Amino acid sequence: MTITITNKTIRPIYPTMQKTKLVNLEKLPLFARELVGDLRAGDRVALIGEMGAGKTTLVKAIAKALGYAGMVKSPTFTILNEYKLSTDNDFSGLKKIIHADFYRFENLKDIQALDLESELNNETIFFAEWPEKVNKVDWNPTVVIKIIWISPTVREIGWERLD
Amino acid sequence: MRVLGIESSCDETAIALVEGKGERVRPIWSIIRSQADLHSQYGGVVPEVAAREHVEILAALVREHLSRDGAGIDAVAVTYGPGLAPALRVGVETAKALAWGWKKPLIPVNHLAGHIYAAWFGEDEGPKWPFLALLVSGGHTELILVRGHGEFFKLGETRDDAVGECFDKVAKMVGLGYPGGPRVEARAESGNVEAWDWPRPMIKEDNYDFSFSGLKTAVLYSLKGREKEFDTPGFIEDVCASFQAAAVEVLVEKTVKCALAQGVKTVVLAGGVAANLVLRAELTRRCGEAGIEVKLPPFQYSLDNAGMIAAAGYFLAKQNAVTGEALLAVKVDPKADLHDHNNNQQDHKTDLPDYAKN
Repeated sequence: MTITITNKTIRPIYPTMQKTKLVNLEKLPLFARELVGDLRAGDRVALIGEMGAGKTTLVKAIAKALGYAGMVKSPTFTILNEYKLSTDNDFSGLKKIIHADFYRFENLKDIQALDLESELNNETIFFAEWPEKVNKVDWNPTVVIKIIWISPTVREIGWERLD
Repeated sequence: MRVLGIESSCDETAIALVEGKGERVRPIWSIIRSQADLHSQYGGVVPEVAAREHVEILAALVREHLSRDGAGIDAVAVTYGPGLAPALRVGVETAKALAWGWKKPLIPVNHLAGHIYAAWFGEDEGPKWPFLALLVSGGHTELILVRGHGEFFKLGETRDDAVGECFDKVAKMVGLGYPGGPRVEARAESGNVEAWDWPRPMIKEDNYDFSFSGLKTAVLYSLKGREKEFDTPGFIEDVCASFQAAAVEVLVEKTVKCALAQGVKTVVLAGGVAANLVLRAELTRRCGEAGIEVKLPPFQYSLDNAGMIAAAGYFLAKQNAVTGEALLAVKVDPKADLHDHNNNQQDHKTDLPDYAKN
């Protein structure tokens, strides 16, 4: 698949991702609704992208698509943020989103200390920014989303379910 | 009344002893065993390491500085949240054990309230009521109306990134290492604040909220592709100075606007970013122009410390001290909100003008 933008031809950067899409930031709320359709309660999402790519912005849009009316802020210093959803959402049993950021972790082999086991269950969707900084084995991501900066208002977003 | 404070919500392990009398409080001793050195090689907080270190450091501090029977200590104050659960637990369980063993009350304290109470160390008298607190740290950027001890009302906050985090990330962009804030400030000293014209997000908007993610990305985009220029003398200094000027301007302008609208005569600066000299100077200057007094926390009490926790514990003892079963039941709350300290929250809210009700 190639996309043409202003006379340049851009090949998708993650051809191996099951799904990719060029997203104009104006269309982000719409895209978030589409993405949410591919998520399930209990999912643990690895959210990958450089600083400024829009990871937190995407989580904000996803939370909104799931009916969360509160503030979604950067978890860089708090490490874990939790957003309680109203019971009236499309996912049966989904009660909350946990939004993590491992940006401040380095060479960490073991994230047991965050007590994630008690937090991650079928009532939660968990998003982790900078998942590269921790061991996959310790939290078993089920979905990966990658965001690539294309221009100030465009991102390429790829996503797939991990088996 | 002598209050022991224990703080272990994140990076720092700290204990302190303060003496409170009437409306004044003074530190007797305060020890912070920073884990920053350990973390520099890791580039940031490593919670598992943090928890292990908290246990070892706190045990050592207790052994070195406290007597077995707790003589001379009337109460134990401890941070119960917000923060990282494993780190918080180390402090809380230690505090519970000490308070229980010494048969003294335990006062659970909100870490953010602690930061606000650091202002009481700077002056002979504490700030006058009501005051507006500008709380600025790596994880928080908020405007909080404080009407009395334990009466906190959040009027505005960042909608995305905290300003301390923004400093940290700009430091990363120009390769300055951890902790980023102080390094950006140091480089900014010899930089030109007008070299770059970056946005002051939300500065004109009619609300008390902030947004720093736009400033972060503005700096990021400006630097894209210009990494080769980082070695040019003055380049990084100019970036730091211009960025810092933008961040400080937004904080100061919105704080002054809020204070004037609320009719408060005192502004209190709080949080780790309160150590920033340019912010302290600019806030004092602009508030002075508007006839508003500014209370600054001393540097050593701006960053995380236990003295502020003990001070907050002293003033909030009447409302929050627990003994017996209630003491044993004290738990950490990683997501603790300042409002937890408020009594009769609903009643107070009806007194507030419309734009202060949230």
